[in-house]
Amino acid sequence: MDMKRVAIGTIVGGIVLYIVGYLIFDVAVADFYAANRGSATGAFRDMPIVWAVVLADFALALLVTLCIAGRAASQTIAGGFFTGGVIGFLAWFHADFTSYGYLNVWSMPIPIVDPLLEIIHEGVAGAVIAAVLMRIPAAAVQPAQ
Amino acid sequence: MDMKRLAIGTIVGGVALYAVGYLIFELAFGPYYAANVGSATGALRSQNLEWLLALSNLPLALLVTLGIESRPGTPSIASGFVTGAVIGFLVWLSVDAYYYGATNVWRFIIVLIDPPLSGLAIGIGGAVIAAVLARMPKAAGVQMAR
Repeated sequence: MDMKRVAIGTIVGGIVLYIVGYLIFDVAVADFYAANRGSATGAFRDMPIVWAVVLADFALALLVTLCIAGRAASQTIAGGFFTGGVIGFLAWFHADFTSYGYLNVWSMPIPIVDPLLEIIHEGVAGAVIAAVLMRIPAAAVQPAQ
Repeated sequence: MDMKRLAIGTIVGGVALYAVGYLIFELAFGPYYAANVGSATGALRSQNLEWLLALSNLPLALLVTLGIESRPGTPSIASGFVTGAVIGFLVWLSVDAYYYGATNVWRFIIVLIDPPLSGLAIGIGGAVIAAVLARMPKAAGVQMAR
C-alpha cells in the first residue's frame, strides 16, 4: 500500500466529508434531526466540538481510501462513489441501530434515514478520493537487486 | 463476487459479532460504559433492545465480509482478524468521535477506549468469517463455452 496515496486520499476525503456533512446534516436536514431527538435530556451540545467531528470524518476517510486504493476497480469516480456509499451505508446502519439499541438519543426515523443520507455523504467523498487517486501514479514495486 | 459466500459470511459474522459484542460490551465492560456517561440524563436505556443489537451486526458483518472477499487469495484467520479490526477501529473511532463532538452522551475516555475494544470484537468476527470462507470453495467466475 502506497502511504503517500493513502495520506492524500485521507486528507482530501476528510475535508470533503466535513464540507458535505455540514451541508447535509447542519443545513439541509438539521431541522429533521432536531425534530427527532429521543427522550434523553441535555443530550446535545449547544455548540459541537469541531475537532472531534473532524476526527470522525478523517477516520472514515481513511477507511474509504484504504478500500479504494486497494481495489483497482474502485479507482474511477463512479467506482469511488459506489465504494464510499456502500461503506457509509453499512457502517452507519450498524452504528445507528447499535446506538438506538443502547441509547435514548434519537427516535426511530433517524436510524432508517441516516444510513441513506450517508450513501450521499460518503459516496461524494469516495468519488472525490478516487478522482484524486487517479491522478497520483501508484509507486512501482522495486525489484530486489 | 460470490453471493453465496457473502450471505454465509454475513450470517456467520453477524452471529459471531453479536456474541462477542455481548461478552465484551455488556458483560465485561458494561459497568465501565455505564460509569462514563456524560452530562445527559436518561441517555442509556433501562433495557437494551437486544433484537435490534443483533440485527445491527448484520450490515457490519456484510462490510467485513466484503473487505475479506475483496482481497486476493484464500482468506486466513489472521487476515480476517486484521480486516475486521481495521474496519471496526475506524468505524467506531468515527462514530465515537462524532457522538463526543455533537452530544453529551459519553465522557471523552470512551472515545479512547471504545475504538480499540471495537477493533478487537470486530477483528474476532472477521477471523470467524475468514475461517468459514476459507472452507468454502470459490465459484468459478467464467464458464468456458463448450
